[in-house]
Amino acid sequence: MTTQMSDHSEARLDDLLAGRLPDGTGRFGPFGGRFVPETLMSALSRLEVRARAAFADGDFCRQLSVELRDWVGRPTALTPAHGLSRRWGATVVLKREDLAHTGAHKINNALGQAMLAKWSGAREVIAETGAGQHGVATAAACARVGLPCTVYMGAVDAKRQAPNVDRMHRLGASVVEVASGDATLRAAVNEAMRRWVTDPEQTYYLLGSAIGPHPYPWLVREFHKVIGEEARQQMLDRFDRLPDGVVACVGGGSNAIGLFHGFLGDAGVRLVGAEAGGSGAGRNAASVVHGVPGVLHGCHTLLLQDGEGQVLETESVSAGLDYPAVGPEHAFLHSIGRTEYCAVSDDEALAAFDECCSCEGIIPALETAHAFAAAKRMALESPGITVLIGCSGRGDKDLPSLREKRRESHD
Amino acid sequence: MTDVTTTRGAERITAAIRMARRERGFALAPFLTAGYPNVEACGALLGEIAANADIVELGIPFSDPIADGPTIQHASRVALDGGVTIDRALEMLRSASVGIPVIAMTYLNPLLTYGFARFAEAAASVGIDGIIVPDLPVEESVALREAVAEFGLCVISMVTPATPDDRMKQICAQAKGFVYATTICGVTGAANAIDDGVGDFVKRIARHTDVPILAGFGIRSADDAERLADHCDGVIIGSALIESIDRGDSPAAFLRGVRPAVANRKGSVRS
Repeated sequence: MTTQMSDHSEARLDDLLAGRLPDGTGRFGPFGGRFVPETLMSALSRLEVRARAAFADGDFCRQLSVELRDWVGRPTALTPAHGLSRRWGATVVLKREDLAHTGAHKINNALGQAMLAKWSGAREVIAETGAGQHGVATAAACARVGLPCTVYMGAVDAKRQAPNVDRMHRLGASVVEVASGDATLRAAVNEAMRRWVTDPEQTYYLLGSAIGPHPYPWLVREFHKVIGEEARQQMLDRFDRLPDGVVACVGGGSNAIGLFHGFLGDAGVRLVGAEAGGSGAGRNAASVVHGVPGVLHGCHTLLLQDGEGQVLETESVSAGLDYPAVGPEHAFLHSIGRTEYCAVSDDEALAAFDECCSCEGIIPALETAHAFAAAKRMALESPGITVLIGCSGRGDKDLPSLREKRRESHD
Repeated sequence: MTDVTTTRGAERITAAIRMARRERGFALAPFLTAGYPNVEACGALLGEIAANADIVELGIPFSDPIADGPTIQHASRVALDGGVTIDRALEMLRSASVGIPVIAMTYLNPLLTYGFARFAEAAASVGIDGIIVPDLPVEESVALREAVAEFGLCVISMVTPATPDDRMKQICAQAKGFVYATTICGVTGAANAIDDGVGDFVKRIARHTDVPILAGFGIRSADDAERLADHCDGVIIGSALIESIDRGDSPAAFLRGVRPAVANRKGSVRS
C-alpha cells in the first residue's frame, strides 16, 4: 500500500528531507518552536549553535561513530522473526535496538548528547526519565565521558521500574524521585526543566525524547536516525527489498522518529506509530490519535488536554509511553499524511509481549510490545507483507511490575 | 500626571508604580493564585491584598507550571482541583472589585485554548490591565501583543540575569507597563534570591528602557524588598505571601510588614 499525499504535503516532506525543517523558528510546519521561560532562551540558542558546530566537526563525528561501534555495539542486528512470521502469515523482521548497550535505543541519543555536553564544556548533566531506560543510558554515557549526572524520575515510575533505579545508582548517577504532579514522565520533565532554569550556563539538560523546545526534537532525531539508516541498508542487503511497513512504538517518539527517518523518502513504505491505548477512552496516552494541538514542555504539538487547556493525566501499562504529548516532527509527519498512528491497548500489548517471548525467545520492553501488537494487526490485514518492527528495548526492567500484575489478577 | 483611576493598561500600571515609588519608596505587587485556597476565600483575600498593595498579580492556574516552585505549583493544583477555569477566575476578580491595576499571569496553553482575543476582551471587562506569560518568549509574542492591545491591555516582558544584552535590548524595546526582572535564574519562591549582582543587573535593564522595573522570584521579606528598592521600582511577592496564608496569617498584616508607610522613605523616581 502506498501512502497518499497531496502535492502540498509532498513539498513539505521535500523540505524536511532537504534539511529545511525545522525552520529558523525551530518549527516543523506549525509544530515545534521554543516556548520556555526567558532564562532558558539563550541556553537553547547556544545548544543549537554548539550542536551544529559539533556535527560539522570531523573529529567529533569520528569519535561518535567509534563509540557507537565499540561501546554501544552498533550496528545492531536485523533479526528475521521466524516464529511470528509463521503465526502472522507475513515476513516479520526486527531491528534489534534491545541489543544496544544498556538495552534500548536510548543510548544512541544519551551517548551523542553526553559527548556534546563534554565537547561544550558543561560541568554536569541532568536528565529526566520515564521507564528508566533514558536514565540508565544517560548515567552510563556520563560515566563513559566523565561527567556527573542527576536523573529526575517520577515516584510512580521509580516504583514500577525499580531495577532501572538500581542500575542508575550503580552507574554513579543521583536519582531524584519526583512526587509532584502525576509523578510520572511529565512531572519528571517539569522538574528537570525547573532545575535547569537555576543554572542554564553550566548544566547540560540531556533530554531523552524527541520532544521539548527546539533544538531538542531535531537533535534527538539526529542521534537516533542511525537506526533507520542501518535498518534500510540491512533490509536491502539481506532481503534485497524494502519492507512494506515499518512499525515502532511512540510515546514522545524518539525510537520511531529515528527508525522512520531512514524510510521517509520511500513512498511505498508505510510508517506506523503505535501509541499507548491504555485501558480505553480517557485512560490512555495516545496523543496523536486522541490529542489536539497545544503547547507543553516548550513545543507546539499534539497534546492530550481538556477544554480549558489543562494537560490530562495519562494511563499506560508502559512507563515509557506514559506521556501526554508527542514529538513535533511526528505531529508534522502525521499532518502531511506521511505517517500513521494507532492506539494499542494495555491488554493487546501484554498479549504481544507474551507472543514475542514465546515465539522469538526475546523479552521485549512493554513499550516495544505495543509495536509488535500494531505490526500483528497490519500483518493480519495484509497477508504476505514484509513488516519491519522497531524492537526498541529489552523487557527485563518490566518483569517486577509484570509479576505484580499477575499477582493482582490472581487475587 | 497620569491618573490611575481613569487610564487603563500599560499607562495605568506605570502610573501606579510611579505613584508608589514617590509616596513609599517602592511599589508592592503581590501575587495570588486565583481560586486558592478556594474560590470564596480567594475573593476575600484578594480584597484584603489589594488594600495593601499597588498592583495585584492574579495567577490563572495551569497543570504544568514549569516556571513555578513548589508553593505556587501546589496552589495551582489546589485551584484546578477546586474547579477554577479562566472564566471563573475572571468572574471572581469582577466580584472582588480590587480598585488597583491587575496583571493576569498564566501559561501559554490555557490562553491558546481560550483564544487570545477572547481572553483579552474578557480580561479587559473585569479590569485586568496586563498579562504575563512566562513560557512565551519575546520572539513568539507578537500575536498575543496585538490581540490584547485591541482591548487596551499590555503584555509584561520578563528579563533574567541570563538574558544577554542584545536580547535585553530586543525585549525592552517591547516593554510596556513594567519590566519583570527575575532577580535570579530559577523558579518562583526560591531561597537566596538576591545576590550582590542585582544592582548591576537592574542597571543593565535600565540602559534599555524608561519603563519601571519590578523585581520578582524569591522575594520573601521587608529586608529583601528594601534592598531591592535601592535598585528598582518595586517588588513582586508571591510564594512568601501564599506561605503566610497557609500558616493562617492575615495577608494584610504580611503585606503591611513589607510595605513602607506613605512618605516613610524617599525613593528617587526614574523618569
